[in-house]
Amino acid sequence: MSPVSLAIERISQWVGAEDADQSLATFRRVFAGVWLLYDAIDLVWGTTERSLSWFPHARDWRLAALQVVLVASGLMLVVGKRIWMFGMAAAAARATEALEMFPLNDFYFCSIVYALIAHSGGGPFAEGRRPKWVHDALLVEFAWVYLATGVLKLNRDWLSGGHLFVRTQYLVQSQDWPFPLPVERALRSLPIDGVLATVGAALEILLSGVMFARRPYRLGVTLAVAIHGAGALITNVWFFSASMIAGVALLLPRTHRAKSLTDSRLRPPPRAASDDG
Amino acid sequence: MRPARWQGVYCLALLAALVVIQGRAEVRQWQRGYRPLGHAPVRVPYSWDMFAIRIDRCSIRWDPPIEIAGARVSRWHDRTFPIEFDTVYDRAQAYEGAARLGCAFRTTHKTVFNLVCVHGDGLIDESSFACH
Repeated sequence: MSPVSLAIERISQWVGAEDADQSLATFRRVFAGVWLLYDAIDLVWGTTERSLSWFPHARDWRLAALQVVLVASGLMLVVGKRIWMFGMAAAAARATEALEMFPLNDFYFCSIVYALIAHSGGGPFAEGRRPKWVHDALLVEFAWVYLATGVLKLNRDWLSGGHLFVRTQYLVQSQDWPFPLPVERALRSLPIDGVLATVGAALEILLSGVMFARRPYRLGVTLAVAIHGAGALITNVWFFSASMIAGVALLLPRTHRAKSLTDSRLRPPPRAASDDG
Repeated sequence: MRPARWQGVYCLALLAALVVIQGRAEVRQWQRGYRPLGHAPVRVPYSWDMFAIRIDRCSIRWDPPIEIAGARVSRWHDRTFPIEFDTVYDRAQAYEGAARLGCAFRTTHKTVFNLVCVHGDGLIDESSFACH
């Protein structure tokens, strides 16, 4: 067999392999549920609309239409019906929202994850499957996002703590954010913010390594909770934080032993098998 | 070609598209001057520059409150959702411009607006202006 034929055969096997457990479907439901809540709030209260312009204005019907598509798609992804069609619709709507209206990193990220979880039931070719390649791709995607964002934070503005200082003190000034007094005092110190920022970037790069290596599970989840728990509490970023924690907790294998793409994971495991180690 | 191979081609095409989109974004960051431990990144879609660019943030107050759609608004945050969603700008000048626009909704000529701006160099400055 030639190397090309061998490669094609391997890829075909990988694409045809089933995931070991239901974690991919669970992640799809949780991720879609988190963003369904976001989009429902957005549609009812017009929050992104208000973010685009704080002053009274007529509602942008294109944005409202995208939000309707996102709510409907999110609902179907949670329920698990017509996953490919609604997953791809959600990916397209989210990418359009980000590229044409509101360039939020959360939206860019969602568009990629929606495109992948659209295939969590088998994609356009089959239904009722749990393709292993989607799980693998999501793990690599999360690992890449942590690596890229951690490395991009290696700059003077972030490492000086200035960015955290701005975000936390803005919450204090504008929203009377209920930081405990000692925490508020600490966050008002640029050197302390600098230490936190440096630790944050290092933890993101470390978590990227855990996601690439697919272990250890507990370290990965602890890092995700630490990074995004802090992100939610001190920077007011809740939905993205929740979906990242869910991604790490549900996608990272719970086995003690990492398995490479070239070993037994390419073979379809028994249906009743559990990946819990 | 067997159906399984079509699936393989489809899967590889999808993954290749995701790699190209995100790889190109990092190349653009590099082209626009980003260097680790050197030049800060800029906004590039799909490069994952979360929290990585320099920003200022300001809180805005009007005194006495302005009136929008029948509601008295004394703070910018009065018209935003309690958590997550916020209307923000990256530069202090943009906040000042927004506060001046808010003056169009004043109920008295003696209205002033107050800005408290937080900067990345660790400074917090406060200033007040009369609405004209």
